[in-house]
Amino acid sequence: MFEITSVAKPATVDEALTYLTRGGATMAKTGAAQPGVRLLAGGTDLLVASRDRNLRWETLIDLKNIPELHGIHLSGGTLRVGSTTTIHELAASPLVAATLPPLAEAAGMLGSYQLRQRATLGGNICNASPATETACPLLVGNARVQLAGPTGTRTVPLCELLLAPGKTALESGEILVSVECAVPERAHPDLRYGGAYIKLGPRRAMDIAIVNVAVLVGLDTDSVCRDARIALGSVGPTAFRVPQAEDLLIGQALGSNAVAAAADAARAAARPITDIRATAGYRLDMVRNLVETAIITALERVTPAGL
Amino acid sequence: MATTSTLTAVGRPFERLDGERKARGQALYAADIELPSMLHGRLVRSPHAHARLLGVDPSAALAVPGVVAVLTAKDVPGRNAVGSRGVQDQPILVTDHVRFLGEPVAMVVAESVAAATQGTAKVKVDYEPLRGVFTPEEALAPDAPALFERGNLCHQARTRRGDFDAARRQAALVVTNVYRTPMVDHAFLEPHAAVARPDGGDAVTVWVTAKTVHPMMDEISRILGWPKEKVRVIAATVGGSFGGKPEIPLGCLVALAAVRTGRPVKMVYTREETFQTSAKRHPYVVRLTHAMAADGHILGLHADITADAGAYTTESRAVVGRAVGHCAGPYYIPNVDVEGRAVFTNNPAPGAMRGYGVPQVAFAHEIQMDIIAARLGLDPVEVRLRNVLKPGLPTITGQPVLEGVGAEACLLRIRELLAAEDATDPCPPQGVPDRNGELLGWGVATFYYGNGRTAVEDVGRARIRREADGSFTLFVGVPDVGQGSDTILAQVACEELRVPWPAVKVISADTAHTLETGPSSASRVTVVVGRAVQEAARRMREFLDSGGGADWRPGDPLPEMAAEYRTDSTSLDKNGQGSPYGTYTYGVQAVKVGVDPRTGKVAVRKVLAAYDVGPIVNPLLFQGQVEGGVTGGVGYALFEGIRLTEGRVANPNFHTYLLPTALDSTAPVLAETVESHDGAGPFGAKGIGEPASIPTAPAIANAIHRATGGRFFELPITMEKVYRALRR
Amino acid sequence: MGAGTATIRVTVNGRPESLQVPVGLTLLEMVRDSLGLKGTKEGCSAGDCGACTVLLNGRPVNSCLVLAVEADGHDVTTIEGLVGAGGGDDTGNDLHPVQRAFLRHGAIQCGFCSPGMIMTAVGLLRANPHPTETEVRTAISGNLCRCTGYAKIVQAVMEAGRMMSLPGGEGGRGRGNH
Repeated sequence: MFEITSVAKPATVDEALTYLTRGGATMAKTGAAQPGVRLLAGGTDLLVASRDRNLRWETLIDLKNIPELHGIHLSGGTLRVGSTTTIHELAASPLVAATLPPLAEAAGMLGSYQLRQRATLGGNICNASPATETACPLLVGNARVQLAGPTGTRTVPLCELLLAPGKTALESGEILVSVECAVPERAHPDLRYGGAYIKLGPRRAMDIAIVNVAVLVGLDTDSVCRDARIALGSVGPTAFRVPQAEDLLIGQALGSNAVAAAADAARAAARPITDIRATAGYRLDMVRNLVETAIITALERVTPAGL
Repeated sequence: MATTSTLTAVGRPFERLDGERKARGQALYAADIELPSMLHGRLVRSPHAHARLLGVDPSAALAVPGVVAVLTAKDVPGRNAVGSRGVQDQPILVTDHVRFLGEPVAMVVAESVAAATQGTAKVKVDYEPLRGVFTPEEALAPDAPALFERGNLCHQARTRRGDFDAARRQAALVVTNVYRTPMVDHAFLEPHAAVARPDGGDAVTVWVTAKTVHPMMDEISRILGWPKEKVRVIAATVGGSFGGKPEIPLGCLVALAAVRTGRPVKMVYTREETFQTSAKRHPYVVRLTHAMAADGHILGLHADITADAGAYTTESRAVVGRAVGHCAGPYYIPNVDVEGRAVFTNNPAPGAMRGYGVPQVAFAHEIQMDIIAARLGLDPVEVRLRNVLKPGLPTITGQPVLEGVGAEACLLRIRELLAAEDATDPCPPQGVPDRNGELLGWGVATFYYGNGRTAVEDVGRARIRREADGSFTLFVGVPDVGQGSDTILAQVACEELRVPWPAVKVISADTAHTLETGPSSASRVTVVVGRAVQEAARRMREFLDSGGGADWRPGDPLPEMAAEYRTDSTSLDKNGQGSPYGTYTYGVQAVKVGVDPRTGKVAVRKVLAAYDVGPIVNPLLFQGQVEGGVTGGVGYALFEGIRLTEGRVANPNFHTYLLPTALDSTAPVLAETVESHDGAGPFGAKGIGEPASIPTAPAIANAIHRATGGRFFELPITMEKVYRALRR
Repeated sequence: MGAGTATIRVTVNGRPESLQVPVGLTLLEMVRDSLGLKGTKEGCSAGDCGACTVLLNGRPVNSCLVLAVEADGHDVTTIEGLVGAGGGDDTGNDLHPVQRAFLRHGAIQCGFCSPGMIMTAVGLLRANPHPTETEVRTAISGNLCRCTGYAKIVQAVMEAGRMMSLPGGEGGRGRGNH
């Protein structure tokens, strides 16, 4: 039993915003156990945290009945995912698998089958865990998030939304509406792409990552790398891109030396901590090894020329 | 001795008797029991691991709507001390001395769980925190604060035979290593729960999740100061035990609360409470020295074993006693000097867990055997074969191994199976990845395990009644903890009665209807209780065959037969010599692992096992025990470990305390049995529950060594440890 | 701040229910305490063990992490609702094919994980009638079992999938009652 006074079920974003403004609350987590108003998506993080930390809520605003927040669409070369789209829907979506494969891969590794039925993309992003499953693949998808607030909507790059563990740049009264990624092949029709996502945990399911890595590479017709995107998770306050490593790939025909150099650069850019799951030193080595593996896997998956 | 081929019920893969009830969700576990006007209990627990309790003020809690009562130590009418095996040193509610974090200080009883929970926050408790001791080393330091007046040494046990020092002087090779194993949780899926109902003013019925009910009855009667006849304890369906359960204070507390309030009371622990406050597997430090002859024979063994007993004695004496007797492994060693001890600390108190002190020492002696093999240039199986116990040879406690024992046969069979694997699917050399980039290796581990309680005459009792419709009811005092004992015992009864399956119904673990027959533990049920069941069934059959019951008429008492079986085990002398068990299970596991050299992550690929376990009573349940035991061993080897910070469990849930999932335990387990004829159990059967799990962790450690070259002396072998070993 | 209540309408095991519940009540508590359906188990209340799995609109969810008010207007199936849903066999047994397979394969020991495990399996087989072994293992990896080692559970789920694909099985009848 949770201590909740009411659950509101708005049918539109505007209605949800009204509830939010009335409560003066924010979806961004401050870490404080303030009673008040909070957005409820899948609940798989919120309810666990509420139980662990004995949080009480005046109003939870359930976003799951708002049609405009839900669904996966492709239009004009842009993949758009509504914030209450479930992780299971992402993992099972042929559209996501075809346009941003690391995202589908990562979604399939989040939590359990049951949790994926409830957990949402918006909730996963706004929970802002450094180990979150979806952030790395979205970062390599150059994701932008659409936010709705009392004064209108704005769009910001995902990398600017994620600030620190549990902390985002959402303003008071804002709601994450959707996430958009330009489909790489549509943005760069001259390139062929391959991607990979790797998560390392002690087990093969149900784990919080020790390191996560997403890679996307785009090759030209001469198999020279013209686009490289590498994101790391669990080795800094948020998931982040590593341009230092990406730059070492661009313009190269990717042999083992270039790949190793990029992996070393990624290791140098990582800022892990030691915690109960792993030491910082192990995490650094894993960044190196897994970035290398992810680049190689991504290269293997590049669509063959002529197809 | 009969072989199972002539039998009609024993040896058959029957579905378990309680399976359909469980599949339908109809089996009632303790937390599922609802009684009219039932109250709910929650505990106020100490936030300190070591403290003086200065005072408890319940007045604000009593003002919370719905709170009916707040119980403290003052409300215990009888003797406020529980325990097991004759040592009662643990209060159910603290009187003045808090010894572990989470120890119950008061119980709030209310109309709802929510009201009880609110009440616990309002109970005002004054503590004076004391300096704690959190390792045996700290606890044995001269200036250490004492948990008990008699000091922090909980128990000591020795085994000596021959002259170890002389053996050491003669030895061509002496190998010494120190092995460490962590505290681990049973992690049964069902958290602790209990319900009590007052029956009139002077009797109480208590439902618990438990491996044993009669000792629980004894403890409750002592707490209440009532005669035992006034206390009835029933095991509800048990959601896993693995040596744990009952949580004795919990059963006593609901009984006390029911008696005090005159209403039924239920209390269910959260998962976090179960992790923080209930029994665990003891963490051990094991120092082994083997004195070896150049030909690979073991001349002598010196062992020093220290277990963290936590805050109370619980089962530590017997757990350490069993470890001392088993620390050599199933090998003939003429010169032995072993000392073991359990030490009080301000950690949660461990108790019995699957293997009862033996998984810890098996991890040590089986890695040691591999190290010895490498030092002598022998094959790991060969060095074991040269030393394995054979009929007539004594164990380190001086118990002669019985004729018909198949320990050697198990090793020979595993050698054959490994040779076949090597011929069809050879592993690359150490450190060389296969075509999938994985380092591969096989490891073996051998074990033996005494069936039944250690060094005491173990008694099984059973009763059989013929019903009016001609069917039979078997009454046994042990609960089925999930392993399928009701089904096994019914098969034994069916066989001996010569009636078709399943003409025997089982009523188990109800002190009002079943005889005391010891716990569902120590791999003893099939053997010790099974023999009593067999004997009761034989008497019933002979009674009926000789015309007994033929003139039975409705209204007459139903025909009944009872029987008792006593093992011929003996107590141990001051040198730890004697015959502590009636029979032993022997076996070998071989495990193949794959190691990812980039990360150190280990996957268990295949498990081969050979057991000397006598005839199998139920192959379906046997295979289930083996597969479950191996999976428990995988967790022990790779993932599991309670992390304690000054007595606080830092990982009290299943996202931080990691159990193997269905994706982590994927290896096929191919288990065989060898012919053996020594089994004291019904039709020659022996116990498999604990033995299934004991060799897995050391076999995995040895396999990782074969794959990577890394040696591991401490569990769990995390991927980070493997990775670091690969980098060296 | 007090604990609010709400009135919800849910269909549980095919039966419409109208309930007044505390807003903070979980679906698990609703099923076990409000409706007395004790087959669904509480193992951790944190979404880690899967013992509380029920089907919400045919999909397996951890009922400890769903509020009863979130189930308003939706369809809930618990272990008690499976019986008969898969069609009986020729012996008149009303167990669901997944339940039958669990018994036949010895996939149940202590039984505490079994209702949740069975519900996850039923949910999987509705979405994917012919899963591979890896798909089965992936689907049940959020259901912990400490007794069996999973092998027999995996075998049972795969066999149930095959049985349900036969004419007259749940799959053959158009995926049961959802």
